[in-house]
Amino acid sequence: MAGDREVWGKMPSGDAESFDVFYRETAPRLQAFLRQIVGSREAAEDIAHETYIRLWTRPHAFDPQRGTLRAYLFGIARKRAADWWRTQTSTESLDEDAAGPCNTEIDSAVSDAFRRLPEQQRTLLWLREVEGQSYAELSQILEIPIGTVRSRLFAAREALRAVWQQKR
Amino acid sequence: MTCNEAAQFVSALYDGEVVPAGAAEHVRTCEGCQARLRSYSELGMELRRMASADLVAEVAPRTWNKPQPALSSWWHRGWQSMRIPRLALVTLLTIILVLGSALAVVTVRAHGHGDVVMLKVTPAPGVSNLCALSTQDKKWGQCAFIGGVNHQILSYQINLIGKDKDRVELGFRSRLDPVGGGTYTLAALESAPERQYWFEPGETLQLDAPGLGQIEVTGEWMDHMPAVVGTGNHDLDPGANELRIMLPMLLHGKQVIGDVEGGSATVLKADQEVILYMPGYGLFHFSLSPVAGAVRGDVRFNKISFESGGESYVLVTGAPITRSEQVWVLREPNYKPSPDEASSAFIGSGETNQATR
Repeated sequence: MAGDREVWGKMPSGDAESFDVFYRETAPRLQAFLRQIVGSREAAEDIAHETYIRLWTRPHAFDPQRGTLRAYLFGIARKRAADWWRTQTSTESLDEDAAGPCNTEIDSAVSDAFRRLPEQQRTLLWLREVEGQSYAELSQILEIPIGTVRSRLFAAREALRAVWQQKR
Repeated sequence: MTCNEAAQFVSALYDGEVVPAGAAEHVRTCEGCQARLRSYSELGMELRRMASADLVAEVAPRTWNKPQPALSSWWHRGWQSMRIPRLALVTLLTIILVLGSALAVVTVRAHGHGDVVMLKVTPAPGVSNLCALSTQDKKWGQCAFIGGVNHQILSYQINLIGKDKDRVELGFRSRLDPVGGGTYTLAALESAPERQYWFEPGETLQLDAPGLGQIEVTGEWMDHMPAVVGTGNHDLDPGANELRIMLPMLLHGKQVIGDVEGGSATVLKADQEVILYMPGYGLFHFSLSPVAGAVRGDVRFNKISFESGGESYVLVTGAPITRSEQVWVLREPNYKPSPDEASSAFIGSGETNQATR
């Protein structure tokens, strides 16, 4: 797997091959994350595609001193997903099912409880638990102080735990 | 410490964070806290199991075309040509890339596009620049500035990335240089990282400028791209001691020998000057104060007529130049910029200082 800096360094020169490798390595996880956030496979793919296009066309927007390329990638995706939500809520009201993850074969109590959390908490938990982002990276992605990352993670876990225990 | 007080530290502990000794000791002996720790672990594992089951093996193939410059070739040329030689720049006042040349304004108006956001950028108290960005026309989606702020040279560039209802997404790069010898160039900003911000006109935004601190931005929506955008004075009438050369075009006889598209320079003190480099013709210094070796130029509204080496020149600009009826023009026909600058016209400003010539 190519390093962040290596991939990023080749982008301005239009090295499509190395960027495509980066895309194929990271896109499945990014799409899984987005599916959890927007609740639609199609929207998740669209947002992921927009995210990669954004990175590809504006590589200098990434500052390697502020974090990893992957954290930056998820940060763009999160913003795009938030934009997507804004357009959805302004044009139509989504029912609860539409807000949850779609087309997943998992039907555990945890997945059901997770689905009931607010988008902000789902984002935070997913990035921490599944993507393994550090507090510093979460701070970068979510644009919040590290102390806030800590307190929000606690709140999100408690919210998930409360719903999960009710359903057990 | 109670369980409630320790609860938040359980979450941090689970994440591998170091927690206060009192909290750690409490968790060690508290069954409730350990149960919470176990449930976090169970929940985390279940989330990862969900993710693993939901992961697709392959993603749709995509084609990545080489990124095209967002700027038109016209703008790019203008951008590349904006270089500011460091004369004796103790208080270099302002250099503005004005994305509103006369020609372009006509174009924008012909399109009838509105949706322009006018930013007022304040890098330091008393120093404000205006930046007009069109959400309709990418050609007018960027602005830049180089100037003296707090005895250093601040360069910044603002790009309009997108619009969402009443707010815009801005890309911002900046660079701070000490005053010294050499050349300031906006091209140096290309290596500076870009940060993105959402901004809603009517609100106040703080941009992070490394080395300088925060730059305040306010703004408003406008229904047109203004004809004149830059610093301070937007009146047609120049201020006292103002020498304003906007979007200059230099004629030798009746032949146009250079056109600094999109570039302007303004000085507000009599002991400062605007400089203009035209490939093949050298460097021209314009000032309101007499300078040894300079010739007098006659000012009429937006034109300066002068002679050099027995030849007639006329500088035509996009706005009235000065209140004075005359300026002093010194030409350095043999001026040699650095090789990579020699092929482009550029404009700049600084203090008048013969010792540096």
